[in-house]
Amino acid sequence: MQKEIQQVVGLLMAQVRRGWQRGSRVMDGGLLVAVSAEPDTSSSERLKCTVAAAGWWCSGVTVAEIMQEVGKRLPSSVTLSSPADPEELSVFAETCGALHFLLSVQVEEGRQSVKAGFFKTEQFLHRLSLVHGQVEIHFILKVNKTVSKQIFRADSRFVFEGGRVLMDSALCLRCPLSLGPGPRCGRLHPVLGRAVPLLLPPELAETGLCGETSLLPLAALSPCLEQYPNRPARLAEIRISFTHHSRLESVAILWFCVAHGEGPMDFLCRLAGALSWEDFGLSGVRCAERQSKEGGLCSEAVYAVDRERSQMAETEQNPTTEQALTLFLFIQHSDPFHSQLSDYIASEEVLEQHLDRILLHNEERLRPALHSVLQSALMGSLKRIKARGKIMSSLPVILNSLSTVVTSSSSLDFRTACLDRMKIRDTRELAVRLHQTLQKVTEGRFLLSRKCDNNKPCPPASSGAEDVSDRTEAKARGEGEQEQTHAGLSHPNQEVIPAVPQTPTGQVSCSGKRPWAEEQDSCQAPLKQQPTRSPRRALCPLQHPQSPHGPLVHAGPPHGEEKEEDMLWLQEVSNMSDWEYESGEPISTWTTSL
Amino acid sequence: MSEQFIEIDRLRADLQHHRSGELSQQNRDEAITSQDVLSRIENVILEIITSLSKEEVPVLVLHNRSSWANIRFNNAVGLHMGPDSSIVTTIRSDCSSSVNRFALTLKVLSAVYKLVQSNTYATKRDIYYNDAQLFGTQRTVDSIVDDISCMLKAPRRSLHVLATSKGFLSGDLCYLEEDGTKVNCSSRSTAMSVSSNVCGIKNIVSDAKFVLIVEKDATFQRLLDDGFCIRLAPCIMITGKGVPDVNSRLMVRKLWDALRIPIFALVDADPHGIEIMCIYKYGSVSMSFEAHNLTVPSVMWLGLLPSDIERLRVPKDVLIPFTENDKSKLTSLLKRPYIAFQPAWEKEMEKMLKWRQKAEIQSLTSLSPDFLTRVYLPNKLRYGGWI
Repeated sequence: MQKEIQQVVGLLMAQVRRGWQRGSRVMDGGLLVAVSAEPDTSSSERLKCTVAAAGWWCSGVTVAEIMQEVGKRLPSSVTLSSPADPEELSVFAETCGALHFLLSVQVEEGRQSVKAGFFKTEQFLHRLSLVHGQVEIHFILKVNKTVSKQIFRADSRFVFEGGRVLMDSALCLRCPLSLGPGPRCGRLHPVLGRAVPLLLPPELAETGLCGETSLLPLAALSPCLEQYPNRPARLAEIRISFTHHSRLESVAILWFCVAHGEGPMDFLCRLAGALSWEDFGLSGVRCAERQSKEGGLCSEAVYAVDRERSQMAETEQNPTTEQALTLFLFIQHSDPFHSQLSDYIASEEVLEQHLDRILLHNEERLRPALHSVLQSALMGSLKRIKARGKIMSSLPVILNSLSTVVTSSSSLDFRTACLDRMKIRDTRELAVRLHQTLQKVTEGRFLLSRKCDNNKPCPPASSGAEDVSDRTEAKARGEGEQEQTHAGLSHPNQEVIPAVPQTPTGQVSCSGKRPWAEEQDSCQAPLKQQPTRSPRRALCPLQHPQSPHGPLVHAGPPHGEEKEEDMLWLQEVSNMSDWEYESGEPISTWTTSL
Repeated sequence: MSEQFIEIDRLRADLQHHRSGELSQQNRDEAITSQDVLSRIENVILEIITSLSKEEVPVLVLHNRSSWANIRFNNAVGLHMGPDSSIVTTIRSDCSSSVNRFALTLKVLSAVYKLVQSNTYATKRDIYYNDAQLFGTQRTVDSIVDDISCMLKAPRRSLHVLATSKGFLSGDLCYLEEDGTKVNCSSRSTAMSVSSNVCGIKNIVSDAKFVLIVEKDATFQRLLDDGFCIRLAPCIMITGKGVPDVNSRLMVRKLWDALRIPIFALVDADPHGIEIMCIYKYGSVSMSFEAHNLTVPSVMWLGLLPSDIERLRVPKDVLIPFTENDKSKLTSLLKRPYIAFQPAWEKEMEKMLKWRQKAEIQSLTSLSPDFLTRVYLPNKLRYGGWI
């Protein structure tokens, strides 16, 4: 199913991009993917899927052309249907503006493949959201009558060459548990490299791939520690994500390739050994097993960085914050002779298919560009290590001087005052306590930074964003407890709510219990024809309840045993990150009647 | 010979007369006991420990020794740090740019604590070599010692930190060092090094009519070789070899306190020479916190005056054209608060600025090889050619 969703979204985005090329300004709006699943037989599910686009960003799409292309590409088992979740569709339109595209289909699919498909669809939309910051992406999963909802949006966006990348750590990466207390910046601070034109290998001429192709690197270190200059940190891994900043369809196809191990792996494996990591103060950089971390983004490649001995010794006393460097590699392809949607799609398919060969062919040109962007991104990190080394080497001098004066003093009052202040009994303890306190105080240094966003806290390790439904309760308990609560949640991003009953007229009823205040407001608001500019924050990204990492978060009370079963089912779906590469090709029994 | 010193005696009488109007300047070294210094250091340490006990970042707050905003001027004292000085430098212990300074300050502070406690003395050089790698340069130690002196409001001597003197003196002067060594500076050919423990000098004996501060070591040696101290005996001659060190300044101050005789300055007729003379007379900004022990506001400008260049018709080819730096320096000097109290100096400086030329003392040799010793200085002293 996810393949079909990706194709539809890809076609839609290709249309949108063509509109932008003609001079339309990039406008905001939303994209909705709603999937409902109901048991059909003992082993299969009847799935309804709705893809909708609203707002100015997609106002120029030609629906007929998309539908025609969809008809050619979707299997015959897929049939048109009513919207998967009319109520959520209505809410979506109210939030994001007038609907310009709507397609609902249904299909029967094996239960096992359905579960895998949900996870892959979520990953696909997650990736999509990162590079299309102007589009608020809603992913709604309705299993029987239980709704799981995730919205990908963020306050901060990095705009470059027509692209907009969401710069919330929560949407990109997990945050480590060892980040420590205090305000946290949940924003990525990207460094843009220079675009490298890619030459096509001669053998690809026969495939008909023409036009200009280039690669634009963008690197960002996460979590942001700019406000904690003295906190011990190390670069633990480097993640490389290929994506396309102006053509979403390529992302769809590329993601599909990657999910099946067809990414440019040869190039990426060679890259790990080809870059001069020593220039960045790194050693032992090697290709690691690619996996999707809890709530995090699936990357094409992950390089692990060995921990140095000095860092090991340091960690025994103070937890070291592990940072990850995400390297986005934007592939840009344009062919001025393409006019039909099918041409775009065909070129993209060829490009994705031969991406590894193209990159290998251009390895000599890519290496300095990547080295340059990595150097820029890690420059701050290198300075930070140097500054921290300076501080750490000064601490023994400070401590020794303090101890010298106290221990050699003949003033009883002075010695007593010192011991009393530190709440200890003798000068031997004083040295230890002074050392601990001075180190703690030094490492806890907090600097306000204009470019950091403390209002968007980075969530704990187990998730990619904060849990809205749990937030109020946590605030009431105090910040310390809030952190504990988050640490105990596996996927606090998810908002699981009971389905809102429909009125007899088919309209969405707002009387249902909805834990999210903004949702209630939007229900009561009149239908908006203009794109709304609600605060763009990661509100309730999809969670994976009852994963091995923590309990399920309920925003609304379940109704009876059926609800509980649905919840369990959703929780099982959430565990699909573990199945991602085990399930293989999903079995599709869709029939086309488009 | 008695006619030679008529004007000088007159000046001396004037200075004695005005002595009652001078601020009572007690020797602050004597006022600060070792116990005071130990207590002040303990207070600093206790503040740091108190900050740590509250899990706050320890900081050292020092009065900014380079900011004119912290400086007040008193004609009787010179430049001194006011009690209301508000510009402070905060040295943080959690910032990479200042943590080294913080650590080194504490290191020196603990060394001072031990010195005072054990009643022993060490030079700044000793402290530096105690951990040369840590301190990096001698200049770092010098600066930190001055910072600590300012922070504790105690003269360096009270910290039991000494400095190797670079100055020399010669003339009609005998005294006892603190350790009992008798020093006689009346040798004809060799000068004595200024003591590194000026405050410990006692039993000063001298019949000198005046003290001559010589800016440069070369001129000092020339005057010594020409028998200036014999020709114009009894007198005392001292040099700080350029910008004077604290010991040289302390020595001049000590001579003034002990002998109350006129003190003249012989400096180059250039902005740099004037500034050096001002340091003897009014003090420097960086050491303003110890002005009471270092300045001698009675210092008079004997030469080389810009007007002397014109009056003596010094050949133009030995004069040096003004640079932009000279102009900038002189303009800055003219804005100093003490210049308003020295209208004659101001006129000379304005002449220099107008002519845009400067001259070294050695330029007088163009008139005659021993013009300085035989003609210029005797005449200036005889006829009161100082301002």
